[in-house]
Amino acid sequence: MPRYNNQQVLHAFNTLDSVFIEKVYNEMTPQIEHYLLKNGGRKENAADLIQEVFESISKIFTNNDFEFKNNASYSTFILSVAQKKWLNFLRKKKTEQDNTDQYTQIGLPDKEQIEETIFEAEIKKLIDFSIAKLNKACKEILFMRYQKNMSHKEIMTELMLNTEATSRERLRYCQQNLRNNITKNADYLQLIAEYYPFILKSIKQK
Amino acid sequence: MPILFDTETIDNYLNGNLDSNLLALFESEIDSNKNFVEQVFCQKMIKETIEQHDKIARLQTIMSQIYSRHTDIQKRVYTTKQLTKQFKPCQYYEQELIAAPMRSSKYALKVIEPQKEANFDNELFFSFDMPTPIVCNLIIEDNEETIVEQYDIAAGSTNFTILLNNYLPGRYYWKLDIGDNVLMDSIFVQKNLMPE
Repeated sequence: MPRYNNQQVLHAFNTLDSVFIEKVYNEMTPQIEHYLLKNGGRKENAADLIQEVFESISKIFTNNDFEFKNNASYSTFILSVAQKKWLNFLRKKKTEQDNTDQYTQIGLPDKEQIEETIFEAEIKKLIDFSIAKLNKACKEILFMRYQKNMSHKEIMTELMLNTEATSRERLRYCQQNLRNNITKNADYLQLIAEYYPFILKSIKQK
Repeated sequence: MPILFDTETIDNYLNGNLDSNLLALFESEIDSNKNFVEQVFCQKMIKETIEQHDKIARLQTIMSQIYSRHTDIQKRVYTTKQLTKQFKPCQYYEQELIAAPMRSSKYALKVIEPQKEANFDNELFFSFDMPTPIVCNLIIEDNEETIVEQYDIAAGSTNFTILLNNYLPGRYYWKLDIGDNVLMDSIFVQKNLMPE
């Protein structure tokens, strides 16, 4: 039985409540370790897997649109992300036990949502890398526009540009630059090809 | 021939701000152009990544602190002598507990959890049979009667959790001070390490 309710957990991640997040971590760590040890993993794999799982769920739980589907509890959800990541790791490694179907299947609340969670977290990680490579001016205008929701008029004033059109043009240039960086990445292209149906669904939901 | 939509139009679509004519054109492009679908999705992900950026960065710091605390705990090694000392009962408290079991107060508040001598590895959970009538002071002492930590529990609480990251394995005594009444009992942390 999960100790907390889903809203409490989402609230903790969104308000950066470190004490509560650590409680969730403490609750989930033994369960993830237990799953791993029962499914061909070793204690030393656990720390890496747990870090990866929390990295992924951090990106998802802090998305305002996120909600648990099919009445899943946060603990089943987190454990399912761990399971999926572990199976992906085994497939990549092509270990002696190729048939990963034999591993314990946790009652996945919504297989698709787990896949999507991992996919989105991976994509956002790659985008983060590409943002980090941008020059300061580009980062500045992208953050003004998408984080602070500033209008072109406000950006123009803030950056002391001559016209709103200049702000628009600079934003367009930086977006193009960022997109070029992202689409150069082979991992990104592979993920996009693999998850095309999800991508289509994701943008059509808007 | 694919229609070209600029990033501003894509943003307007993602924000639900396209007029019906443009929306129809946009959606028809989505249905027929795979590259365009990828472009819209990429823009959506860029937007969300930037929106979440600061929060994620702060979460990463919080998570690194949590990982390093847990790694430190896992690396700790104890000798049997140390463990024997840490788990030894405190004679004075043990006699007190036998003489007068102290799990309820004049306020009729009862401590449901932790049970007597229960074991905890990561966190210690307190629960009460009714909301605490006033602010209570919770003191955790080790087996040498040294205060390890103190907490104020707000009035009206029915439970309280303590993280045990900084607690060594051993025997502990908790005291709950409710006005002039003190409730008390013992618990273990990582009892699996207690020498035979």
